[in-house]
Amino acid sequence: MKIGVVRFPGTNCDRDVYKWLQDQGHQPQFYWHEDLFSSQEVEALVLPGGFSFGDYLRSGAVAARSPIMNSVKEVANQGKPVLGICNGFQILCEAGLLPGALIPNSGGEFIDDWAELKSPSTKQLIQLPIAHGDGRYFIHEEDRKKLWDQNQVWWQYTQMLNGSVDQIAGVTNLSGNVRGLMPHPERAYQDWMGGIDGWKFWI
Amino acid sequence: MKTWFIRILPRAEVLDVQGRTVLQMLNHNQLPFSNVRVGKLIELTADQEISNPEAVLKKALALGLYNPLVEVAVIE
Repeated sequence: MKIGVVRFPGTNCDRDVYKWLQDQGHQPQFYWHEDLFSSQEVEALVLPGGFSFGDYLRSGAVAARSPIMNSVKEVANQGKPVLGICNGFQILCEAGLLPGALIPNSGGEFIDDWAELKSPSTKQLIQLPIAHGDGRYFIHEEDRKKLWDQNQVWWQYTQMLNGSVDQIAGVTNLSGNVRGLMPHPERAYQDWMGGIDGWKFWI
Repeated sequence: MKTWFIRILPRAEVLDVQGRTVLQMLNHNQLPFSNVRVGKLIELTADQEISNPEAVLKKALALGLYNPLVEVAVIE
């Protein structure tokens, strides 16, 4: 599968995501934030983690208004899979492609650890690394209900780690092709990494 | 040349971690405040005349200077 990997100034998980995709048999291709590309060039997209534009204004806020986001939205609107990991998740929320916002952790500290996640739909339990300061998922009460009614909660933490509403770690858009999560599957797909739950995690 | 300020604060229903930390520090130093919200002030300057500054500032806000989901913005 041809998968675009979108880079912004401050992205730092791009090489990890590239290797993760390559090792799973995909053909990753980097794109820069100033690029505009045809949606026909890719079958899917990943927005990796990092600290795009130094988290200025808010995490993901400046990146969400970059020229390349026009192409990202075009790909998303065609129903192709789009995944945002960590800062990529923050960017997709800021761009309005996913509901809610990611704000500073309730404990006020950067968390670097492993987290257990539960899928609300399948009840599957997995373990993935997390590394974030702004990982507290926030959504207003009326939209929180919609999120559950429309099966848009993708993953939940099994323990309260960062103050996220309903311990939400990842969500999807209404049609399910755009997904975002704070944990890092690309950091857990080989035994030596400490876990393999990130293997074939997405597509 | 004209300058405007936009004051941005976290919404009341959003736990403001920075504000809580600053409040603790102030209280630890015997200052009797009961609430602190930490936000940001954005200064915008235009060298050229803007005929409808309020509309232009609102456009800047809508472009992403604040996130209405978690923040409130006031043009000063």
